[in-house]
Amino acid sequence: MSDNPFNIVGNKVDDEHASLAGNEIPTGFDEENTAERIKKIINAAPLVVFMKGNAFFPQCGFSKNTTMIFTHLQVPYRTYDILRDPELRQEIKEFSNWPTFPQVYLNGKLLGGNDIIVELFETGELKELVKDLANQ
Amino acid sequence: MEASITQKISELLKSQFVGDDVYVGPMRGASDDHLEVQITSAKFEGLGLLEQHQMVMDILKEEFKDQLHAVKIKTKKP
Repeated sequence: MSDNPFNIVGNKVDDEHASLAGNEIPTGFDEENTAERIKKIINAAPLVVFMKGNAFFPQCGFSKNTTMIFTHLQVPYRTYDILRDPELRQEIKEFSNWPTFPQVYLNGKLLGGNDIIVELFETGELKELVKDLANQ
Repeated sequence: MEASITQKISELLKSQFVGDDVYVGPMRGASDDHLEVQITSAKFEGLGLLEQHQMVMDILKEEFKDQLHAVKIKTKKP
């Protein structure tokens, strides 16, 4: 296990990778209820990260680290800023049975939080899991 | 107060993982509401990584509403 959960792959989104760094899903409230909003968002892209802030201005070291790993793997992903959606922030904890952020969804299913992403990254499994996305 | 969070979480996990190897300590380089948890338990046998972490997270769920901000979890099978 790495000693530093905040910085597995470095800190900087360089120009080369900037276009891959999480394209943020806009916070939309409309009339839909929160449960429907969650379902809509997790299916908005094959890889979705619910996080504090966004890939360019992450508001938490764990969220930042997770997005940096996906950027490093050069895989397209989208992010959703739970700080701007307090209702969803509460409800998704019940939905996913997971009390913290980030929460990573792959093909509509919870993959895990930062520790799981780091562990899967270090074993090479993550690269395999997102391989098809990277080639798209 | 910080020490008591660690102790509280440690006791909580040990009550659910009776007889298992449970370590709870401060997370290096982080504030006191960030903890590191390592558990070695036969309960993890046959479970995927997500389910293993979910089992631990579920026990800590109420604590996250209160004093706890983050835990770094490492699960192992004996």
